[in-house]
Amino acid sequence: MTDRHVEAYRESYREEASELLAELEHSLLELEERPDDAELVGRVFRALHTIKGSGAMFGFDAIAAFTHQVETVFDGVRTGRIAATPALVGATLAARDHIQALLRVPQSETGGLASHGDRVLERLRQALPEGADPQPPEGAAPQLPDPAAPSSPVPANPPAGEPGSYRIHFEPQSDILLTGTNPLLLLNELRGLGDFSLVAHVSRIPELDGFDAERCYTSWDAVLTTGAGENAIRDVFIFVEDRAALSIARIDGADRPDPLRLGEILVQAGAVSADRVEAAVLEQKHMAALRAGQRTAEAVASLRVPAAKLDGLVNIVGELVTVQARLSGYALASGDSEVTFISEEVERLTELLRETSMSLRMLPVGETFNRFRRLVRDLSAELGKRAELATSGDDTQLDKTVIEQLSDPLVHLIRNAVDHGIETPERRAALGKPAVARIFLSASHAGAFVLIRVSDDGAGLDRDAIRARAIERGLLRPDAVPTEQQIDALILAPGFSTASRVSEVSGRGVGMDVVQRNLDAMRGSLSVASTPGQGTVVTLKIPLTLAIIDGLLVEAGDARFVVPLSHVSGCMELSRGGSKAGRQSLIGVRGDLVPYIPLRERFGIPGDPPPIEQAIIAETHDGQYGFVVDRVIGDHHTVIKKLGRLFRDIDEVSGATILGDGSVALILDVERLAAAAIREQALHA
Amino acid sequence: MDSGGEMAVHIEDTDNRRVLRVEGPLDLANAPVLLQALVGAMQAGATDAATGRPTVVDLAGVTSVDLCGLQLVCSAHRTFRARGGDIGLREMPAWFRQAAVAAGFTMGTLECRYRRGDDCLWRE
Repeated sequence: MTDRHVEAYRESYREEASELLAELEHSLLELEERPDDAELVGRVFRALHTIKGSGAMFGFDAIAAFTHQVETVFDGVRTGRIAATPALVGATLAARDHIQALLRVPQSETGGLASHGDRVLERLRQALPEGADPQPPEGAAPQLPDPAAPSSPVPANPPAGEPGSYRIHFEPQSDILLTGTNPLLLLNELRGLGDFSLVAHVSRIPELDGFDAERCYTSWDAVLTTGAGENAIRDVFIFVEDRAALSIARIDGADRPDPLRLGEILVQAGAVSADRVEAAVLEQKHMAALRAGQRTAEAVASLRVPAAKLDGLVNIVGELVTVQARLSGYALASGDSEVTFISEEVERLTELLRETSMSLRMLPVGETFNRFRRLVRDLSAELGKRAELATSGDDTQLDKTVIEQLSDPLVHLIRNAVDHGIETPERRAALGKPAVARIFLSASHAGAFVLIRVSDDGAGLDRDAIRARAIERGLLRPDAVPTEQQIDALILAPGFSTASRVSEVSGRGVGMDVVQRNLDAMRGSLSVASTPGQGTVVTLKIPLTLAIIDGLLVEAGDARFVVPLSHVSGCMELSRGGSKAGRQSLIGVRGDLVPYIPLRERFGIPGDPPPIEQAIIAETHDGQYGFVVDRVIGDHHTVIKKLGRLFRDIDEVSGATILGDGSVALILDVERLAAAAIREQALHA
Repeated sequence: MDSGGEMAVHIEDTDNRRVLRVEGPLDLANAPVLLQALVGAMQAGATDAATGRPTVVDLAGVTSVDLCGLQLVCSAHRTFRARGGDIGLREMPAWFRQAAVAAGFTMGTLECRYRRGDDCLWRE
């Protein structure tokens, strides 16, 4: 194996271990609530076993050694010798964090974490119920497992149980050796479980001119009699199960072996001639090939693809969308029906490709949600509060980039909710509320957006304090009479939340600027609703994807803009001279007066507007808003390009796109435009 | 499955046979060295039924063997047998044979069509 191969597999291990650590955390938190759930204990044990076994194979010796100690304890839990107490779960969570820390530092620097690891193990030992026997550590000192030792992951004394005989077929994929796996070590592990017979199938070994030393051509059939049970056998193969075909069947008792296998055994024993069994063996091989075919089909049903490749694909599709727009423009101008036909076909296929490539990037948001169970648990324990996290809409899918960027804002919001929103158990009891507060995290679709809500049943926002602070900071005139909605929106204003004292006064604020910044980057929006004494709901409105949107292309003077179609509820003509209420221009839309923003004025575009303009009516979180332009050009598949650093302070534009003719159109951030108008209005009210 | 060192294959030709004397670990990292020597023996006519000389692989100097090494020996056996050549193992250490047995490479495997009667590569 080359260094490049080794590094590639190590990276693959890091990815898989990260997933397993997330799963481990989730299982431990559930185990804390259901300590007698054997399935959960099994999940914890298997995650630890895989992290350890794969770690040893790929040279993550510190992880393997540390995890071995934790796994040993959970083997005790699994076999009923040790109870899964809250203290033990807490210590195991700390151990899980230590494994994550080991995973993140270069292998050469894991020594620096050794003393922390010792402290975590000490905590784990202290968490063991009195008299509990974690098994191997006869001396108290942690012992390094020998990754090469065949018996290392196997309990020294398999749990006593009724002995059973099992037929085990193990057929590794041919490239398994390249992953650093040594199938012979796994077979030796099996041998350690009981009476063991083994035969290698060598028919796939090619002749010398087709021989590749790095391939595994061998498969095995084994018969094992053991009291350890089927789970112990499966555990041996736990970290190669996606790289091998494995079947385990009980062959004593009611589940007898099939006659063909018996025939093979009889031939080996010389009891039956090879000729008589030849046909049976052929049939057996045929069936095996069929099964192998099914396994292959199942194996290729899903693939793990590096995220960078998906990003690359989306970028290429983005370019294609731009070129396709040029083609459509050319076809329209040429008047050539054949070219138009081809252009329409390309447009249809591009659209399909766009939808397919975007769907590849969609992931359920539930995994992100689950990470916060730990945050709520640890934070409430730290602050002397009692809170639980409930979630809904875990299956809601979001673009992976959005999910990645969602994590920080949610951490801040949940931290705020636990820290400042919910009351202490005593206060809650005095108020007649349940002692355990509830943080609720939900996700749901709303058109091209996903709504993420973080709510709590705490005290709610202190609007008097927010108003006072806003006046003090010059964000509100002392005589202004803002609505509750306008007061709530003030905590999101730039500069407002950066004052740390705000949290002491109002119980809200710290970190809201971070939340706002992250949402801006995602073209998302945020709203706050609060009922005094009953709690606060923060709603994040996030686009499904950050790469390509459907937009409405409009023109004002020489400038072109894209209004995200997801916001647009209609268009109407506007003659000059709409009514004005104070500084605000209003337009009548189906009986309602809707404020509007002329883009020419907003962006300082020179020249006179046409006598009849177009107003794009957009739905924003702050209600309907009109955006007045010279002309509506039409729908546009908009590939979003980030603006350069020079434009980073421009709030009201979320990006740009390149049009078919090579010119640039700015993508309007209608939420920010509307919010800015509301703030200006509040300031001057 | 790191290599425990480098392997060398010394080729000794006599009138009636070619001996490939293996020294060092016969493993994933080093198996290609022996593979090359075996292919070289074939190219030198070892598998020519009429004129080929027997090839002998001397295992006395082998320090360790893994699955790749066992598969290579098996491949050499079936290649020579299939093409009319003759190949045998010499000075197989006891631990080597135990490693083969532990890996399930025992005589009489059904799929092995290259054994002749009791003539199996792994036979004592």
